[in-house]
Amino acid sequence: MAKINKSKMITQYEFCNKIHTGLITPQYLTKLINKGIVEKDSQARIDILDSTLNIIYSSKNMMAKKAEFLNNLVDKAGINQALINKILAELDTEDLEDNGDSDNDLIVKIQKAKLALLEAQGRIREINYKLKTGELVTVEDVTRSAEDLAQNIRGALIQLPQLLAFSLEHKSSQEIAEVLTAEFEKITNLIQKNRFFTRK
Amino acid sequence: MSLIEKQLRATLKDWNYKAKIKRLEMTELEQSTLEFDTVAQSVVFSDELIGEMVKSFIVSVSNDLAHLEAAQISDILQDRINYMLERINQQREVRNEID
Repeated sequence: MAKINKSKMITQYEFCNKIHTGLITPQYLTKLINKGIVEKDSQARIDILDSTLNIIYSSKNMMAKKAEFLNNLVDKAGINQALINKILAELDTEDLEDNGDSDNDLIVKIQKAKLALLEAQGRIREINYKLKTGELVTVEDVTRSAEDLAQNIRGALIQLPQLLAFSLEHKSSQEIAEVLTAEFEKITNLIQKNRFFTRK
Repeated sequence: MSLIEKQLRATLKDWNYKAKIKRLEMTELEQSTLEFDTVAQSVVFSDELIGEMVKSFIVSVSNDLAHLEAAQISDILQDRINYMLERINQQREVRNEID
């Protein structure tokens, strides 16, 4: 399953010297901050992913180094490779040439892009809220929980023959069924103790 | 291209880019989350399914184990449990292929 790697806030020093060593100098980063291309928070930290993308997008020169920037995000900042691949694909296919749109067309397109951004931001807020309230769960959590449960059940089942052989010796089928029912109940109870088990 | 058009194109490029990145983030989040209720239903369904499997397992194995020695019981139970686990694995593989 693809793991979500949200971006994180780091200092300008870390950004230049630990993540994008050799690509961005502290002086150049300061210039980009002053131009408003890179934003700082109240603690003077910057968002790794947003800042990197804003820098890539800030000039043709930086755009040419996009692969190096994005590789640094994966290798040094631990950002999800799948997300970076998608961003690279988007950047590569982006058509920025004059396509004959009038000024009015462009204004409408700008409004549409703003609206799309707002919608996406709203949906992200909604998903994060639902994750907090438990209405949504991550696929990673579900997978881990299912694997743990399967492993526990399997372990319990494998032990069963050794555990029961002597207590079932020379017993009638009725008596055996009773013992097995009680033992299997303990095993299936593992499912009911699972955090996702909720009968409505 | 007029100056205003250049500025509009630059602005559009900027907003398009911002919107694209946010949409990518949104898609990532959507694809890596599930409704709790859907998961819960699936767990309840598995519980019921396994409950049924266990019932028929007990019925079939109880007769075969009646009045046997411990060693024989252990062997038969081992075989049957292995068979059941194999079947569960096969079903899981089929389901994975369908998914």
